[in-house]
Amino acid sequence: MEKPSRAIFITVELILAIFTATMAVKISTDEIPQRKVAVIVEDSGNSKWDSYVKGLKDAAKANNLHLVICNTDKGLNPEEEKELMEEQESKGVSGFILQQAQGSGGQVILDSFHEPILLNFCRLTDPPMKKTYPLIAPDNEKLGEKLGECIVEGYNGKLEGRRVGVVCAASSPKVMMQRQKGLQRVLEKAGGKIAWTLYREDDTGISDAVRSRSGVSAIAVLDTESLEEMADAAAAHDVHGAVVYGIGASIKTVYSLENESIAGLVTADLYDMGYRSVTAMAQYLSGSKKALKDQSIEIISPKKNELFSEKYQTFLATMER
Amino acid sequence: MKDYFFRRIKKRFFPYRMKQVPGFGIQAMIMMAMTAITIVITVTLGLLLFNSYSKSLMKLTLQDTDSLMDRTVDNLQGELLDMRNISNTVNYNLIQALDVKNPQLTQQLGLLYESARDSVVSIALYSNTGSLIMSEPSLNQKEDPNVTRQPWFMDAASEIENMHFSMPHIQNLFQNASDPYHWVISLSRSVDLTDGDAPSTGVLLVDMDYGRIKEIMEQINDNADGKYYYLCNNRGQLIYHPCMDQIKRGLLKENSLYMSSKVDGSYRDVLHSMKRYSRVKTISYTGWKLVGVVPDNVIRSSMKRFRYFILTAGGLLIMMLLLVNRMIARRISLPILTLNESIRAYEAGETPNIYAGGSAEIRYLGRSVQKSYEEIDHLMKQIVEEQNQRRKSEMAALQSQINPHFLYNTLDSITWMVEGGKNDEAVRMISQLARLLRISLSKGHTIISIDDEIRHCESYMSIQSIRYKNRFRFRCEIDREIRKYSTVKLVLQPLLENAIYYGVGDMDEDDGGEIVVRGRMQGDEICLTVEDNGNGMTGEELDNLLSEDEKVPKHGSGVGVINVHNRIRLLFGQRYGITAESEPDEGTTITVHLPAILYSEEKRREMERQMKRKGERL
Repeated sequence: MEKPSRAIFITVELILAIFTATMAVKISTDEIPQRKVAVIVEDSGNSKWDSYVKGLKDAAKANNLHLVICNTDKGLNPEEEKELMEEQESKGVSGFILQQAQGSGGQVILDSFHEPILLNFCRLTDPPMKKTYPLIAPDNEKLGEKLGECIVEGYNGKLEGRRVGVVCAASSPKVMMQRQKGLQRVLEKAGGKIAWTLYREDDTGISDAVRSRSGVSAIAVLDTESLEEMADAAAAHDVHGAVVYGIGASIKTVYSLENESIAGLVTADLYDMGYRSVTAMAQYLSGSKKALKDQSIEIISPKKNELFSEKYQTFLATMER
Repeated sequence: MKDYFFRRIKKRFFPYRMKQVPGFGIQAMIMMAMTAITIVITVTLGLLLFNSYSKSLMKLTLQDTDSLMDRTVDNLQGELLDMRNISNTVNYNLIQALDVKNPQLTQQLGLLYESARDSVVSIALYSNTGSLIMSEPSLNQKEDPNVTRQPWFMDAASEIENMHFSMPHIQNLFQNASDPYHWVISLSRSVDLTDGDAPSTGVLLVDMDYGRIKEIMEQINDNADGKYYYLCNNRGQLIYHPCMDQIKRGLLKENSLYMSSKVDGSYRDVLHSMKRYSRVKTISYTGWKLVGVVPDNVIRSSMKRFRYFILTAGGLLIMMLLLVNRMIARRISLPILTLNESIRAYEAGETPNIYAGGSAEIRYLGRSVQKSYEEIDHLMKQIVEEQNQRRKSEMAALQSQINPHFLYNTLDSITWMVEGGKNDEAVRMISQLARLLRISLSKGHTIISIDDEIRHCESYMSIQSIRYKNRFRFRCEIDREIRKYSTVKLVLQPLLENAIYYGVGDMDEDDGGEIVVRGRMQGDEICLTVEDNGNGMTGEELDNLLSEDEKVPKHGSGVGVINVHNRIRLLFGQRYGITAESEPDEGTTITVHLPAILYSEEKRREMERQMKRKGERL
């Protein structure tokens, strides 16, 4: 009886020792480590991202993610983006949320990373292709269409024979092209015509180029920074009497609508884009492999007299720093 | 033979000791009992501790929340009171004291604004038609702010006796390109204006910087460690919430409507399937509710760590207690186990002694077992001895029945008688011999009647008288009544033989040797005596007469007397047997004590069966 009893005793003591050690280890390692997600957008300090960044941060807090917003300047190219991604990869990020940098070889660069990648704003390479990255962004063609509808509405639907000038950012040709496509479709349907298209360079601006052009009833501006510049020009009566409409996502563009420097504003809910992006990434990292999929962001077109309604106050609240 | 009997008797009395007793050993049982107690106590203590800790933690968390909320309420009330004081100062000290066109009013208002500009965005006075009368800072009013349609104006106009705090909103009054959308909380009230001689009413608006409220609320929400605090009005509309944007966009929900209806206190509610404690405190002047939310998972998270701690401590405690239990169990059980082993060894014949160590009880037990075993041994030896004696007695009895020497002498005497022409005497001797043999055989019975025993004696003595040529006399004085009682057969013949051989056999006819057999009833027993007046015995010989020790000197061999004595005791018990009295040169009297049992065939069979059973058991 002695030997089996001793064996049982030793076995029980060993099991208890293992159990106790496991519990002791768990006391110190109970914290669930936060996963890191890196966000790379061009010119990350620009106020136009305020709403977007707020959405990112709120979602990161709600999903217990550690968000790393990489510091970038204007004109982010694929090589710089790759360097940032490699740096973050070496710091152990679990996923990337990117604005895909303009330039050749972007797709190839993204393919070299193993972490999940979610694109915002636009996807520069359309399917079919070897690997498709999910995109959460407003539909750029619809943005253009909405802007077109805004212009048509501004002329009470009577756009027949009217000429419209287009101003867009030179740095995002793909996005601009999509927006212009939607815009053109609506304008042409209403009888309008695009007279000219000007591309704004970040360092030179567009006011001078627009000042040299005349003969348009309206100017459609397809990006935030161009719209802010054109709003200033319109406030200074420097657009040959043309009415400015635009796509923008900053407080200044909203204020321009309120003080009637611009006649119409179309914007996307960037807070929603940021929030959805981080939420989808968090779900993916938690094991929901279908969470990373294309999603479209709501497009809104506030009217001046609605700006202080509860709906738009909520929208404005996220735009503020 | 002796070992065989030992084994048989041991097997009969201790059958279970020959094989391993099934089940747990005493050490295992003590260990299991103590382990069960240890586990029950440890688990109970752990649960009690855990329960107590969780309650304390809950209490502490709620107390922390409470004290933090108290401070926040004080801060918020301080801010709101400041606004009220500004509004009251403007109203009672400026507007009611000065004409609206009085430049001093504007000047005093400017000074007041400057002193409070950290928390006040603007102070403005409107007529009851919504026209701006004056404002600080002096900014251009927007083209058409539609003041009369703004909630703060409508509240002031509808309830003129009260001050009204609005919900946070973007100020829509003044042009300010650098900071166009300012979030404010408006404090508005209806005021009486003096405009020259015409009194009128207006609305005084103090726009408080919402950032002040936000800052206070953010302070308590920072590092809230899972808890959070929000502010709502008495209709459940959110004034501040750490997830304000998500809630307004419908991404999250909050039970603010439910909580706004509650008086100050703690409440349990459920949101997004999450149970939580919500603490409500009311802000004075406004009816706003500050709500502190402590989700259960926050407490569970703290409890989780403590649970691991309890499990670790419990595991260690059980480990240590098991070790101590084992040591105690060993200490308690070791003497018992040693006793057990020594009993086994004793049974196996490996050791002559039983262990008698350890505690007093075990020592006592060991000594008792030892004593019991010794007594058993003694009894077994006695039984074996008795058995052997019985066999010896039976053999002796058998030998007595057919004594070849006696038979030869008798037959030799008969031959001489016949040759000498003493035919009558020869016939009488043959007849006596025949009767002697018949009674000796008794059809193999052990029990006979006293009558037969006496007749057997008479035949025997008749033959011996012829052989000893009547050198002694013989007579029987037997009470008639005892003849029908039972006796073991052939108890008198050995005594008579002894009386002849060692008593009167060597005497001459003139010496008057005599042997008398007497029989009488004495109480509940029968006494048969064989009395001779022969040589007698010394005291020592008499003492050794019934001794079984073969080494002691005896009167003759002494075997015959002892055999008779043992046979009687074997059958009838220890109180019966033989007693002897003797004096040297005086004679000897041997008395046979028998129970008074009437002889019958049935009694005989019963007694012989009893004898047989005793023989088998032995």
